[in-house]
Amino acid sequence: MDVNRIRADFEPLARERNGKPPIYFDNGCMTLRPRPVIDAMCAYYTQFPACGGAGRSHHWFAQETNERVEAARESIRRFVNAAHSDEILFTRNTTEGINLVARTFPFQKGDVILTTDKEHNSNLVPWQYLAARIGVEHRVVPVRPDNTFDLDALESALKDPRVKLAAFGHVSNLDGVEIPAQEIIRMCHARGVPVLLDGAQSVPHQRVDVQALGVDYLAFSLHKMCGPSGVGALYVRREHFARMDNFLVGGDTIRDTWVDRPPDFLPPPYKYEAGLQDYGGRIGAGAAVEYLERLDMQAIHEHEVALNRYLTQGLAQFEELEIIGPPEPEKRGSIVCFFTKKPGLGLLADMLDERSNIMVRSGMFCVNSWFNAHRISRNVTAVRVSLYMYNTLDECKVFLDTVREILAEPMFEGLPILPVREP
Amino acid sequence: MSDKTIIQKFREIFTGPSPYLGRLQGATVCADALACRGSKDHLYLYARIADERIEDVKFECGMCDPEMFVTADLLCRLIHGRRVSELAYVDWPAFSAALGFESDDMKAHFEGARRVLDALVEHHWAGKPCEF
Repeated sequence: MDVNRIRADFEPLARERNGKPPIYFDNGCMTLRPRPVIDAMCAYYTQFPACGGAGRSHHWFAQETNERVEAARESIRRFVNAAHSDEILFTRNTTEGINLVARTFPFQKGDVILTTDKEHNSNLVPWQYLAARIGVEHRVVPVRPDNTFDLDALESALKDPRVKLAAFGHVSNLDGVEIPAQEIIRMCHARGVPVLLDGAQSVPHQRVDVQALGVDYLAFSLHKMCGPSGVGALYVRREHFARMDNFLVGGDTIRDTWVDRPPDFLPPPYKYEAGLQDYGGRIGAGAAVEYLERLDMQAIHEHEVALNRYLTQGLAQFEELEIIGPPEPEKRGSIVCFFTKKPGLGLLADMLDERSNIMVRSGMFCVNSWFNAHRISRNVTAVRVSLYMYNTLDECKVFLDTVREILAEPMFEGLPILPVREP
Repeated sequence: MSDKTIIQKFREIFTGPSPYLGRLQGATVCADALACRGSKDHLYLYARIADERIEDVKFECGMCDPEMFVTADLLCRLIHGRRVSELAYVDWPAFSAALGFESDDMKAHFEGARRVLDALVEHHWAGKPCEF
């Protein structure tokens, strides 16, 4: 994989501040976008900026918009190896995709939904909200002490015949740990339980083949894989549509309406894509997927693990820092998340940014529930490095050197190492 | 980078260590907020109030700068043992007198911490239990 060739496609990497380049390590939130994606979006806005949608305008610009949007849908279908393009619904993000499943799945009062205890808020709150609204039960399958998935706990949870859906993060945005999805889906299907995967952190970094996995629903975000902000996708295995309720309804979801009888809805995917859409964004999303298809996803994954190895061994020399999750970099993929255990290091992310233009994220990464359940001290801060294909070993070296420099500041000398957890 | 005096006081909080640092077991009321506009200083205050008196108080400060740690620690010192009705007297003049100097930066941090204290008092009057 020619990282320098890839980097040339991403214009923000050529910028400088204080004579130094950017080091973008916040890909878990959103990735940078390559030139072809920006060009595809610009083409929409400069050449055919019209309404799309099956039942709307039929003129030159509208036809071109529809063709490009459906081509984008087909690109996404191909990327995740869905059997049919109507199994790909455009959404705004993973959050909306999960909410779509939560609102349309034929739940009844007393049904049980499983998640782990380490989910992004977007795969926790929809189920808690549903529990409060219609009386389903949200039940947790706790992860192991090293944050890996516990298949025994799942086996135990699945004994309850009331379990109707299992919804898990495929790769954790907190620590990069990947669940054994294939085995989980096998176990769930043996009990007639469909599976929703939050693919926000997996689809950008590896080949996720929905047919090979047998997953029922897969939600992911194109802005985490070189696509425009605010574009996501939800894969729904075709057989589930018959049981799914409507989500947002109105324009573009209907074939025909009357004032005195129910509407005639369009089939999926259009049934679930109400109103005027972000056509430029969808066209850009298609360009993003096509860009990734020209690369070797396995090589991207291996590149990220190699950088993770380098960072992990480098961070090990600092007693002030503690990696979250399993110690093996192979088990954390593109993510290196760690606690800062010395007073004042809560500002480490700011210091990295000020000194060396290193952009990381600190906080709870929308996994507040995990921090609360583990009684993580609020005097301790978590910092996340999330890597992608355009990051380099040199960038990781600058990161480690800057961390070393900061920790050597007199301000931190002699200060105690704080406990991570409250008693 | 923070003033030397502040750094010294910040270090003393952790080398002491300060009795006000940490999570208070058995807190009857608590509050949290981003204490400083435009920054990430997230201050958590915990108090045990009995007979309308602050029997014990502690704080945690996530992603806080040394100024906020110093502010929170001194604020806890000033309110520990006071009656809830007396907290209004813990104002900037009283705080800066205890601090030993004035600065716009510390005043801004005090005002942020004061907002969290005001929220704690509101929770107390509303009977809202501590959920942490």
